[in-house]
Amino acid sequence: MSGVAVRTQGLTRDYPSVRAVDDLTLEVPAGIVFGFLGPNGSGKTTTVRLLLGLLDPSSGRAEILGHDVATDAAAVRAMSGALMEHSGLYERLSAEENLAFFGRAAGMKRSEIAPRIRELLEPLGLYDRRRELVGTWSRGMKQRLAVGRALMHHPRMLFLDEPTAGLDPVAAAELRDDLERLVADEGVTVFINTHHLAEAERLCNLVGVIREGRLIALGHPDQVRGSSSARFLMIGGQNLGALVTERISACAGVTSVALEDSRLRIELEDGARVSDIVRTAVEAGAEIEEVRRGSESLEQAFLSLLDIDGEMPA
Amino acid sequence: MSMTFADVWLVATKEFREVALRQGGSRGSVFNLVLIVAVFGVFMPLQAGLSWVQTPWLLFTWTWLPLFMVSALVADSFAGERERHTLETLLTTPLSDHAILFGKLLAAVLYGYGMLLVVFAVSLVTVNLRHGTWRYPLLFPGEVTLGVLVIGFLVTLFVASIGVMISLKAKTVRQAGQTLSLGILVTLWVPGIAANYMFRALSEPMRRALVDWAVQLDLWIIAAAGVALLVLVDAVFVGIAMRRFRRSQLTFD
Repeated sequence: MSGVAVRTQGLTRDYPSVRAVDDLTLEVPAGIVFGFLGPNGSGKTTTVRLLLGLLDPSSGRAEILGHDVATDAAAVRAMSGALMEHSGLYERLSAEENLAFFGRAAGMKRSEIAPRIRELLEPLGLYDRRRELVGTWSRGMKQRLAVGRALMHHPRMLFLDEPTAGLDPVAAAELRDDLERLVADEGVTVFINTHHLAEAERLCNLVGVIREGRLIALGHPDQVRGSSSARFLMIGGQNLGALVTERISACAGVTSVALEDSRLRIELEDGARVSDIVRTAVEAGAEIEEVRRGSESLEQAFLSLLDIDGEMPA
Repeated sequence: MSMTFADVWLVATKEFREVALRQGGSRGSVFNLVLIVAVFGVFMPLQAGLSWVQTPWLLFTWTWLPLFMVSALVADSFAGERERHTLETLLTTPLSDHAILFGKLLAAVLYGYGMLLVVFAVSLVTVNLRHGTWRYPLLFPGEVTLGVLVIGFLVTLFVASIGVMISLKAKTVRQAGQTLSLGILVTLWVPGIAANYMFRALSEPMRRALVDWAVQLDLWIIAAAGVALLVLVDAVFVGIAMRRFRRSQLTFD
């Protein structure tokens, strides 16, 4: 698959008291998994609602697979599957009835329904329980079924809004496994809203970070890490005292130096030369035993981009 | 995407299965239906005796039965989906706005009107078992049957359309149910009370003239006027519901 799956230009949505999405301009290539990262209330869900034509934009425009969401929303929804904030399953219907309803709603023929249900539910381990009422299932099972439901009609575009939110770690891990496999099998473009960075690192080829409705970073997870002044150097050894710290701080490209667990953690920016820093440390009397260069995890980069100290937002 | 009958039927059957048959559990739903048939189809005809098939006005009171049958279903139509967090997912499907709206209306009308027909038929069997003979079965007069069928349908559509409209904006099923009950009460009682006060306010000669005029009126003219009024009211309410149901205007939470 090639081309652009999601294209927005200046997409903006205002509510009476807040601007939920602010001048969002974005291109997501077809065939990839795009992670939309941001804390709660940052505008992720509103963006997905705009992209599915469930909300009218205040200004700007958006296209899904070449169809304008304002003027051709039905076509957008016909080629999209969505798992929104809630599983959206009818709990008084069986799993089979749920999938059949959504399949038929998307225009599938009756003869296509049963084989597709089997195809989706067997790998999820839910096929034998397809006639049970969904209301009797665990949250994890419902969420896996909801992913299956979103893929029922072979959509070309899949929107997932916090798919693992509220699941226990085991259920969340199982769902991530299922997602990874289903996405690979089905070959769809995926737009996934999340604030679970591990999830994004594992699943996504491209990530965007949104804060207060504005896109503040966009790129491959590695690029996003790099864009947040996230590279660092760890130096371990003896005599890593004040003089060494002071001399290293004066080196080009060093933004900060801190002593952590008998090691120096040196934050770097573009242009920093590790060899110069090591030589400076040795000249200042340091006995170096270990030098390790690294970059932040995406989670740390994310926090840095959002200018948040401490814990991830819940 | 345009509305097709298949889409409307799909939504209606989903609605019917989910709400009508399984609200409060399958057994509870069946028990409720049996209870209604027992009361209106067996107990009341036995109490009324032969007048059940001989008094047209008694039969017309039946046409209001769907009002009670449909209320719970329509109150749930959108508010229930919102409360159970299924509305947003339903709206992400390619089903058109009108297919969703008319599917929900159709489910309510089929449920209420279907129950009316079932109770109507069962009551006829009851009266015949008690008072009729195989050779000379007791039947409702043809024009009464037609009146009940037509007015019953229009009343069902009236409650369904006003109920769906209320449910569209209600946050919870309970709120929708309460507003609908109040709405029906106001719709039925306020005109009656107002007419009563206006009648009392008239002078004695005017009252007498009005009564004389009313007595001369043909029952069928009154029925026809009632039907025309209901058709007009139904059309207005369905039209308003169509205008109010737009995906982008609905709140999901």
